[in-house]
Amino acid sequence: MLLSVKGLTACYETPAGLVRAVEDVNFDLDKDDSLAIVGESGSGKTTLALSITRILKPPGRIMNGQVLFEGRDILTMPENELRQIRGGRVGMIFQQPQAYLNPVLKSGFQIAEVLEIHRGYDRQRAMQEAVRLLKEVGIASPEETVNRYPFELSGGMAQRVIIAMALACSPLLIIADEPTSALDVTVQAQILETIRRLREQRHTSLILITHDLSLAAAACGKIMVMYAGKLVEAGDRESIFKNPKHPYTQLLIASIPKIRSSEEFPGIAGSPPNLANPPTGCRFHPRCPHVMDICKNVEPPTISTDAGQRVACHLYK
Amino acid sequence: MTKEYSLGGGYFAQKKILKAIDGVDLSINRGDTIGIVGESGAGKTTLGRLILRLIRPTAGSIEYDGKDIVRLAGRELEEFRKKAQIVFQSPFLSLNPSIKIFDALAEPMRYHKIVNSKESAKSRVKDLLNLVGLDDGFLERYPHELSGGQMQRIAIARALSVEAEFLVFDEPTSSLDVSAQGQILNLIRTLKNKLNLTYLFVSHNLAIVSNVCSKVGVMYAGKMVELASTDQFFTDPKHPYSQILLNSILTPQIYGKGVRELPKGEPPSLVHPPDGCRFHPRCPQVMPICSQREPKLANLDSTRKAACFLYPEVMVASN
Repeated sequence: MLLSVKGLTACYETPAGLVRAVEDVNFDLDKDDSLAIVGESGSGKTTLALSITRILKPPGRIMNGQVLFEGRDILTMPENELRQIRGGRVGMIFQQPQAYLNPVLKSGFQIAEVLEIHRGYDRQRAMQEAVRLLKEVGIASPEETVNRYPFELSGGMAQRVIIAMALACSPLLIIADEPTSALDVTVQAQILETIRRLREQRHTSLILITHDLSLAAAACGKIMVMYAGKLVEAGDRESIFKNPKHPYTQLLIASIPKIRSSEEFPGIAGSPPNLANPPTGCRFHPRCPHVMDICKNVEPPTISTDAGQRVACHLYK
Repeated sequence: MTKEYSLGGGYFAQKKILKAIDGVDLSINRGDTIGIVGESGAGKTTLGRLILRLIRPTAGSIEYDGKDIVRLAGRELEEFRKKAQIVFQSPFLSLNPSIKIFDALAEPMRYHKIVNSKESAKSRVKDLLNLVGLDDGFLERYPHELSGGQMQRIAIARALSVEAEFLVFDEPTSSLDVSAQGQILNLIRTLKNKLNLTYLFVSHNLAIVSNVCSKVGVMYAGKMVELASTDQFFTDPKHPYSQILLNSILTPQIYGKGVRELPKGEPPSLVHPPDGCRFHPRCPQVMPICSQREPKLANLDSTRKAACFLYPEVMVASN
């Protein structure tokens, strides 16, 4: 087991009270696995990603749980060990590439720096490796690109630089938070293909955070759906799409606009709850078409189905 | 229509011209729902704003009901503003956070003297709220008390408050979650039929366009490259860029399929666009002529136009 998240709870301290953005989330990730964490805004998916590498900043706070990476708990690890994991054995890719590059440093230097810190390379060797990495992520003229500043790069190229940085130390796991949402559709397709190819060659595991179920299906073998800080369903891509169990998952899949259908757009009535004061029982019950009395008072346990799916809904026993 | 933006041009920097829209011709019939698709920087938003005269074109004309709106002023311009309205991408930004919903909806009607008393304003605002599927309880609320979907309903109600007949939607659902997105799209479709509206619908999401629009215009780097009925466009796209755009759509079914044909490169700089056809550096079917001459948008049949040298009609028109 590469990564094992157990009972993870993270919250934000706000004037309105404690907001539990992630509550009691459990999942495992094997080597070579790809997992998409899907949810709407406010579902806690980004907080979860930030908690895994412990880069959640105040007012955010991890309250409970374990994040076992190769058997060692990231949440209790001393800072110096943690530093070897962040950017070393775990690479991260974020939504807005331009915001994560230092605007006053050349892109090649920013990649090389990772290698100097984690691998102890000298500048010259690190720069050579930066050129090689840029080539690997599909940049056509890597020798020129290393000398460019971030503002001289397009969105797609900047994201490739970020991917090169994430890959620099041959990580075992890449966490990508909405890696293509800021990019155009044609560039999105290219970046996805790059990530897919790299994973095939390097056997790197992937956690993809996205609001887009189609993207999740295109990039990952496993899918986990979150709602209001809770895991509602998890399973293989095929079983999630062919046989979604949780009413929220079903509605989410039905909400994907299809090409040329004259039907009504399904949508989901109501809006996601305020997490400072979440609904009692199942958090989805005020919007659920199958709501029962039990849903209003009792929180549904997460159960495993015969097909290996995990679902938290009172419809299933 | 052409819209140029000047960049720089200080004491030392050389002035650069960015052509956001370059010689676009488009006509919209009453009752049409025309979708404008393309990547960022293609000129979609600029086109929508030009048509409403929120900005003025550098060259060209825009006629609405036969009147050139570029030259409109005074009373005539006010009349045009009542007829043609816009719904922006982000209701979080387009609604004033310190103004209650009632006033947000009443203000345009007061300005255009559609209502003359507090009572008539109140009853009109209530009607508008009902029209967009909200109840009277929203009258006294502030925008931050609303969800994204509810705020976008208010933005639509505001556009309709002055009895507009032509609406520009600029990515109306891309800042919303999928669950709210469907409801807003249903509302947009229902209102069109109920009120007999005409839409220009700007979106980068082709699946949405295929469901909402009757015609599709594809823009690339400031040019219109294809104009077709929705059926034609989605079954048989003619321009190679249209084909690539359709190929880039992600659907949940995609994992079953093999590797897709992927687009090369990225959209060009609009300050120094490529010579000839602007798409030629990325085009899988590029020919020598493509880098030398610019293809004109020409009729391929009675309902479809494209700007690509693969088609003899374009070759003739571009001579």
